[in-house]
Amino acid sequence: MKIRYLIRKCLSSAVVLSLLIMCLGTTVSAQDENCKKNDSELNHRIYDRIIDDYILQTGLSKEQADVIFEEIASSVNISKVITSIAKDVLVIDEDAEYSENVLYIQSNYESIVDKMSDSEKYYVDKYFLASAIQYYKDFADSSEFNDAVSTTADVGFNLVEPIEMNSYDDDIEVQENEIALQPKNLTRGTTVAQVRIFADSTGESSIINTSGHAWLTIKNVSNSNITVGKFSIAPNKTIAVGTWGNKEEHNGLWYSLEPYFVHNYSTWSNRSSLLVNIDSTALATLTTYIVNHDSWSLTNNCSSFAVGGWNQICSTTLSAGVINTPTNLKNSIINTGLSSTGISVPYNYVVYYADGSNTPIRSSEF
Amino acid sequence: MKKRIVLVIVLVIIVVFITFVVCLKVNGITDVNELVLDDISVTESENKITLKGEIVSSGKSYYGYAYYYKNDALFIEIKAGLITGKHKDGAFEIAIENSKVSELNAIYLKDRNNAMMIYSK
Repeated sequence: MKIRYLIRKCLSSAVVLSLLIMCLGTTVSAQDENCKKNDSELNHRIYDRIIDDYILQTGLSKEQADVIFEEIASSVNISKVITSIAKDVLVIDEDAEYSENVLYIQSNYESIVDKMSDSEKYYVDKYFLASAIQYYKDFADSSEFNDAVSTTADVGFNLVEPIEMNSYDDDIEVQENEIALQPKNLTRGTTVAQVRIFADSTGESSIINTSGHAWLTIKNVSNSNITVGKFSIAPNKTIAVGTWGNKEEHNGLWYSLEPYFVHNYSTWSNRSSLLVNIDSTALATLTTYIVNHDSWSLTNNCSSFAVGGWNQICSTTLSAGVINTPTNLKNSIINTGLSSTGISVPYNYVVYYADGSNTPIRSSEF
Repeated sequence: MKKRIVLVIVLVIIVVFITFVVCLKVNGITDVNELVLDDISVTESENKITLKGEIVSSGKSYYGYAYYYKNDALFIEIKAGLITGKHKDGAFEIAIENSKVSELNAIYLKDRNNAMMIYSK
């Protein structure tokens, strides 16, 4: 009787235990599935963001790039793909960090693939894409690939005009030999603003050049105030917008910091720029973009901000590279054959930094 | 066998070279054109030099500095690299104390190719 009771007790315990193990297993595997799904979605989002620059740099077709991406994405772990291909990519240092190798490949792509066979180039392209995706995973802010980016800017109220400088800027609308590019085909209304994109780097002869800065300026060429980001800008005045990652007061969007440096220190003297005239619809698009981009990271840096804003409003699209850098953007600007050098950056307003949906804050440092 | 040895040596040289260049760039001496100077003061009585400035590349932060004397001039090199959790700021403030300060006639900011004079007696 006692033995039977013990057997029954053991059996029921075993059943409960196996049920528990099954539940736990299901939960873990469900969590695992969720992780894989999230990871896969993130891979696709990163790929969507970098695909245009990747195609531009590698010369691959979209279909060829898609094939390489699918091969990479089908692997469980992209870092394993990077390690496994590294030995087939003859030009990189297997012992170096992948992040150094991807910047090296990007900066020297043409000379690397020159004279390579198709199969050798295939490995470079695959390594380049895999490590670029991993780079964004490792260095991008977690919010960078979130869906929750508003499509319209909340700029309809509490607009203020920033404090003006007693500046010495020119009031020339188009400077000598400067060519105005065609705006993107949104609408073709009356021109209300001139937008310039600027980029400069120190032209280091090194293989990796992460120096420099890129930004946008917006000049009001209408007869009434216009909205730029969170500010109301007076006729014939210019405001600069750019993102910064090395300023103690704020990490992200700054207003008028670039003219402060140009005016006080003559910085970026070899800056290259392009110009586009835009109407009020395009300006609203740009303002929405500016308001939604108060952030900075290694993968979403000043060149990402400037090129992203520019490509929203101009028919001549630019690239800042797969891993965005000011050097790549400057090269892209120059490669249009329509760029100008050393165009002035009027210092019309004092320096502010963005503060989310609130009015920007006057810098106490600059 | 001989070919393999030569190949290995060549590969090692390439790897060392690439690593060397990459290391230089990730945390290297900054181009003087990337620097702006807010303030410099030389106090001979205290044998002290102070510098205050900023790196104008928006993705680089200040890592440190090095200096050396050559004749009656002081050369200062500013080291910068990519922004990290530890190195976030592009601003720098340097204080150099040395008995040779009173003998100085000039101070330069220097990178690999250029020297920019920032002080002369």
